[in-house]
Amino acid sequence: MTLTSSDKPWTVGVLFSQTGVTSIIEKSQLKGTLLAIEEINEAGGIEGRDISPVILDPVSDVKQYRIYAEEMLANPDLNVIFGCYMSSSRKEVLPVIERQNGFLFYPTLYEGFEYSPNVIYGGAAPNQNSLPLAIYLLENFGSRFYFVGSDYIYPRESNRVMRNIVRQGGGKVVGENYLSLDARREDFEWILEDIRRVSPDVIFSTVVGMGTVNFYTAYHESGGDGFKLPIASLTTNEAEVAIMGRGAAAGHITAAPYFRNIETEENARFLGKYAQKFGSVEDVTSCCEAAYSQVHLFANALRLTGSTGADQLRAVLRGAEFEAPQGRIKVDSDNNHTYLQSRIARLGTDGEYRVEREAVRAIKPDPYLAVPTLNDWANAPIGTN
Amino acid sequence: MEHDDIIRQLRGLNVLVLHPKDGDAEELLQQLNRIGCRANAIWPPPSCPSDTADLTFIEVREKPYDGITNYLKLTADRPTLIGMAGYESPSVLQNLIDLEVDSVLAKPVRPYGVLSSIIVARRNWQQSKRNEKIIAKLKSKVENSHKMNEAKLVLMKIHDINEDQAYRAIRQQAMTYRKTIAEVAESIIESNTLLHNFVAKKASDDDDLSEGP
Repeated sequence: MTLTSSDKPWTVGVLFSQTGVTSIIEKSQLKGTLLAIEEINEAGGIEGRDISPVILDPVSDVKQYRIYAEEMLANPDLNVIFGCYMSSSRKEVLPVIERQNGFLFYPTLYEGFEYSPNVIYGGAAPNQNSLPLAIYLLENFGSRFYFVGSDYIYPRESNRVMRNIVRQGGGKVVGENYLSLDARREDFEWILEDIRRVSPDVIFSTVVGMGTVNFYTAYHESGGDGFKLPIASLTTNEAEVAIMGRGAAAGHITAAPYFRNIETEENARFLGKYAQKFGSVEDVTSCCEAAYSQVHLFANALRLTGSTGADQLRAVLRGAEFEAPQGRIKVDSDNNHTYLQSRIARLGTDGEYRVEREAVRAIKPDPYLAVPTLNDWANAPIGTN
Repeated sequence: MEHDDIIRQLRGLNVLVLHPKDGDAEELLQQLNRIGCRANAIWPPPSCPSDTADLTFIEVREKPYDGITNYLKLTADRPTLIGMAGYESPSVLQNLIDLEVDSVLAKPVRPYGVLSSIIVARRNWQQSKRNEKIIAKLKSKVENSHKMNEAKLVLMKIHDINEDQAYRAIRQQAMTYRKTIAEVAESIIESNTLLHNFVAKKASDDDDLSEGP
């Protein structure tokens, strides 16, 4: 899709929910996207043309993502979409993107086992977050795991991977329960009771969205203490911590490529601009950082191709690198996923994450790792802070 | 459990792609590489199979391709077979049946569906291997039980004993000579046949070759 008019902007679609159960995290992804677009435009755009976002709000309704993706791609000037958080929403959008040969930037961790030539996956695959987290938990807390998750694809698949790793490490899953995405605080009571009864060494949570805040708060109110029995997660983030409060958050653990308070030059610059634009950095998350970085990867690619065509973009994005706030990242040249940093951090009483362990370099994405083995552990380049 | 094993063993699979070198073969090899299988593409099919693959993708067209049929004939242990077909015309479908593929991968090849076709093919292949074993076992069981009945009849007739006594006699022999019951039954039938032939030839002869239990 090459546009002829030299002052016509590059139109892109932006598809994140601003309302509904996953809006906390998706709003942070939206802001990361918009900040990057603003940076690029302020620096003169691409070939003198601005990037112009068409923003639609699918209100955390899975079907709405497909409808909006179709609507966006019906515009002949629009071929690239930034968006989706839940796997179920990505699965809705994918057929639309592939049929039209559009291009999707997906800035979210997910369960793996997917490859589309029309998608760049910017979040962590299980080998980049589940694996290091499991090793850390087994080493530091013990072998009895209790799984709590939201009831959809990601938590179930993610737990399947986690269960395999835990078993290999000689551990045991002593409980596994799922609640609907809109679970309220009181809906967690029976699970908390069961956790007290079973008394695991660690709780592994794949609860997402508003449920996260409700779960951590309910745990705190029932007397749970993150320093005695922590909840470990791959999704719980700064934005959710800001809402649940430091009391409920203290002691809990998250594995992610990025934390807001890591000290890199790029992160300082990113946070400075973010604060300037949005007034606060309270809701900056790893998914927000991934969204931000993906827009820059796209812009760099567009500079080379001068076209938003999927085939052209894919050709230059494979192997593309970017100095992101988390550190250097790179799009894998075979599987369209991204080499990412891997960090494990624990929340202090001040509500701030402290990185306890991190990979010495970006980890290669391995989206089809069904059963991680001890070799895969050994290959994960992990250093302790 | 069975499913678990198939998924667990995915990455250990030795995969061979017998398909002309084109976009479809290329797309398939790339996806196999992403999945993490060891994959090799050879075209035309080698005339003598060297190291056997666990899983072989073969091109299936309207006309059977001699290279592939020969290759499969020469391969001792039938690998899991996945047919790659670009048409669904009756002749292609017939070839899918004749080649006894375990599943099909439709062309043009897309990354989606490769894993599913592998999993389904492995499951079908394992099941048919398992069935073959079970059938062989049942066959020999039926044969043995036939022999046993025949041998019992021989003993019952010669020694004028009942079925239970005949059975115990055979078992006793098997224990004494450390043979299987089937082997003893077989030798009883054989010697009876010999004896019968002998008697038929020299009808007047009096023989006392049979052994007591």
